[in-house]
Amino acid sequence: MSNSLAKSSDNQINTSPDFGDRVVETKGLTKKYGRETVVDRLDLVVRAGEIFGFLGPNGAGKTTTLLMLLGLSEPSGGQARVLGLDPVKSPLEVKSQVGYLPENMGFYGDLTAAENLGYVAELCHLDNFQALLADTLKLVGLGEAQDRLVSTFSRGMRQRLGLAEVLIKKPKLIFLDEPTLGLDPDGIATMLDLIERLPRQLGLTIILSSHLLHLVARVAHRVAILNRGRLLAVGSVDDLAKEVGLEPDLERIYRYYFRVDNQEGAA
Amino acid sequence: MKAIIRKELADHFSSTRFLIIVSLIFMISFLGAHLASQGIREALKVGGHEYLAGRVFLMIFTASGGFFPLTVFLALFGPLLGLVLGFDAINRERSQGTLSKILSQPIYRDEVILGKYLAGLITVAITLSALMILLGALGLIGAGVIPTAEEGLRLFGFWLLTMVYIGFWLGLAIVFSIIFRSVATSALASAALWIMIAFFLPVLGQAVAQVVTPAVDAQRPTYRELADRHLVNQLVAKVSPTGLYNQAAQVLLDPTNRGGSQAFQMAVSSRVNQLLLSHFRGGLSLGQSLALMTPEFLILAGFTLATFIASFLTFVRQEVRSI
Repeated sequence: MSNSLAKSSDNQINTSPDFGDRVVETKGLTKKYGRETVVDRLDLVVRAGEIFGFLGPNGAGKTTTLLMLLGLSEPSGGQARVLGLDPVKSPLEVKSQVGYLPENMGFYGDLTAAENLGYVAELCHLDNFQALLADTLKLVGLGEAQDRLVSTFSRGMRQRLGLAEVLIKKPKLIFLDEPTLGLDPDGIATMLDLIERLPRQLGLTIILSSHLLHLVARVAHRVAILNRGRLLAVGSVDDLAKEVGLEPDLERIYRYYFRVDNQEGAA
Repeated sequence: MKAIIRKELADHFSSTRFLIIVSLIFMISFLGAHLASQGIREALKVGGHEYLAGRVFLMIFTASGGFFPLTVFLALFGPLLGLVLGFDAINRERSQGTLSKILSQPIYRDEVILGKYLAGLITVAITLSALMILLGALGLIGAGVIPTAEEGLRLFGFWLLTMVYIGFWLGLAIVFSIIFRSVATSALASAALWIMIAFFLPVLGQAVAQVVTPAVDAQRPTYRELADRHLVNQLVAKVSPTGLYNQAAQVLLDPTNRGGSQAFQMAVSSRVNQLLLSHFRGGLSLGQSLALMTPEFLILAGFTLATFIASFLTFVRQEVRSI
């Protein structure tokens, strides 16, 4: 583990209602499916206003970690706090303040964009839906398409609608799981611009899970590198580069940690 | 949960397959009721008022009129309604990627399954109410009879019984939609179980009855042998929701029915039944009929509750990763 932010100052997680700027904090967070450990004693801190890149190959434990933080999957061990709340004990409170864009976000194709958003708003018990609808769709560049059936949307438009569904409940923190998957270069650029703007415009914290390193490097303030459920490194690209004596190139840094981890694994 | 119920209701009532099944059920029921009411009118012309008193209106639902009686038709094809509403309740959301979206909103997971089940039941309730009201109206016009208060109560009981019965199939279909990831597999599994329970189990019951209570002369079984065979047949029917529904519906809608199947009553019929009818000319009271059908109703309700609990537990305990 490389950076001090990966470790808390003491052995106990902060359980006070005043969580300071520690929007997400985990201590020894572990998830096992049978005998297989998918997330292994993860210690992590994500600070308010950050775009935090969550990197790793398929099966590294990124999505499982997000699901645990959201209260959708129960940890096998360790603790987590999201916005000062325990996701196991207070899943509804966590889910009302945290937005989640899953890897393969689905929509009801026979409904319009506004109707899809309306359903999410109803599930979130939002009262002022009409006011939020126009603002949110405008924010993601779908203001003109609100009455179109989602089945007629391109992949890029669907991803932006997914982001709108995440943003409509005015979350403080959002998890984006592979948000650029399957998008063409224009779609990727639009999505990254949006992600970059959100913390400034809405005061959000973003955890961005992806295995597309160059995209994450473009927008993330700090990154965490995971492999086989274990946290290999966490910090800004510059800090990590200094630590391992490489140029601030996320691709190289990532490969370095993987090489070391695989050698340790083999030994 | 209200949001889920509302969305599901809108989906059900606009779904083509639901409209096809409902149209089919309505058309066949109308035909059956029309033929039955014609038969009743003929019967009333030639007399029999005293014998039919207090159950003329009910006969619209129980008389075959040369076709399916409504009770038998609903026992065999009513399950399709429940199956169509539930077989893809969860796996459709899963395959189109909307389940994780729903679950990441501030709602409990059990609200999803409860919302879907309740929406299915509401759909069945609306459909069944519409069907019975229309058939009743057809009976009023066709047979020219006005239902008595007791007949109305018996019909309400029948409505409730049918709800519980179709609720069983709805719950079963939802269980399959949770267990099987593929919509096609859950549809096939639901249909296979429906065919087995509705069509093969009665045949199996007869086969078991013949093996357990063989007749000395197969061509001319004695009343005793027929009664024993009937008893075995009814016991086998008690493990089948369709058999339970049939037995309970017949007792409820036919005051002269004392718990035997129509086939049995016909077989043992003539003398014994005529003798009974001479003693109980007016048939059983509503209270007596209810008491007689209570065991079947309770077992059926138990089956329905079991399928709902199974769907609830399977869904709530499923790891979100596999969702």
